[in-house]
Amino acid sequence: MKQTLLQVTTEEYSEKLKRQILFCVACSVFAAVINVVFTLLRNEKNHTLMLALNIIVDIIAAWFIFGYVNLIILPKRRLLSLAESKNHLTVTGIVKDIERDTVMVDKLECTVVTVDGDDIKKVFVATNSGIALNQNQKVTLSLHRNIVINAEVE
Amino acid sequence: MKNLRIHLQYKWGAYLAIALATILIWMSIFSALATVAANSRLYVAFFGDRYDTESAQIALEDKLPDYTNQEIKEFSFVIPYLQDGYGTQLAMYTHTMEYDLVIVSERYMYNTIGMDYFVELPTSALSEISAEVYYEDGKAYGFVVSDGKCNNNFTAYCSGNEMCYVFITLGTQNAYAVNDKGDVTNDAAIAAI
Repeated sequence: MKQTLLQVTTEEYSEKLKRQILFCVACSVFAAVINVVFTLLRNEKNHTLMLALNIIVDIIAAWFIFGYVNLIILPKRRLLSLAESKNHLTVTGIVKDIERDTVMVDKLECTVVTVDGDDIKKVFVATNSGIALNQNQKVTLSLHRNIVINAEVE
Repeated sequence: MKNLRIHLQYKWGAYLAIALATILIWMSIFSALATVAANSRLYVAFFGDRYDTESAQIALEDKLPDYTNQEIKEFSFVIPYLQDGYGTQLAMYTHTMEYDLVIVSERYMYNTIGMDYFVELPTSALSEISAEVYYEDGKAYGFVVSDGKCNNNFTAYCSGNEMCYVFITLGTQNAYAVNDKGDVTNDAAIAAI
């Protein structure tokens, strides 16, 4: 059974990514429109209130967009660029150990997997990828900078 | 959740910077929006010992619309604290602070004060105001504010028998653009006198 990094084709994945980027743009436009409305509503009496509302709206919008980009969009873009990468190294062997703790590799959160093939090799499986390995499985892995791109489980 | 925790651990500084930058940007935008334009305000500084600024301000706010079409949203009367060498302070108020009018009590007057700090008044301004004109070397620089000699807006608020002089500042934009500043139709400073 073949497991891939993205689970879907790169085209479908990049379409989904584009929609998420558009969602971020829409959020910032929405915040800007609210800012304009609050600024136009400003007068001498509600000056401080409108200032506070504008600040709150912008902080929430900016925090949300920053978090969304860093936690969702950027990891997905990294996965996509990994999936589109060439020059894969192939490793065949048995999964000996899967570490419980995760590590950051190329800004991707990964699980460390030990594979016993020609020699014992440690590879990384991105946690937000479509690859799930179990102990004692015989696998053929395609690697790019030691990160698993495809896994063929026998 | 672990991702989020790690993200917050490493990027909390960015979140703080975003919040601070947002506050700073909006504070400066709103501060600029709240600043009243020079042609919508009338600021008066009084150099003397005593002046009923509150009554003067109320009276001016009531009476001014009868004398000018210019809309004034903000009035301010200030009595600067005078120290020795008040000329420096006077310069500051006439040049830097951009007050529209400066009233100087007789005690602080000297021969060339008009030439030193103020603008020569145009004939158009002189003809509109029925007050005694203050001249230096034959040039008009201000008006005399003194009970009995004239009946202008500031007379009632100078103390007792003190004679005061009212000058138009170099920074004002509300006096027929006498100093090449502002609109020629703005006449609130003249109307106030």
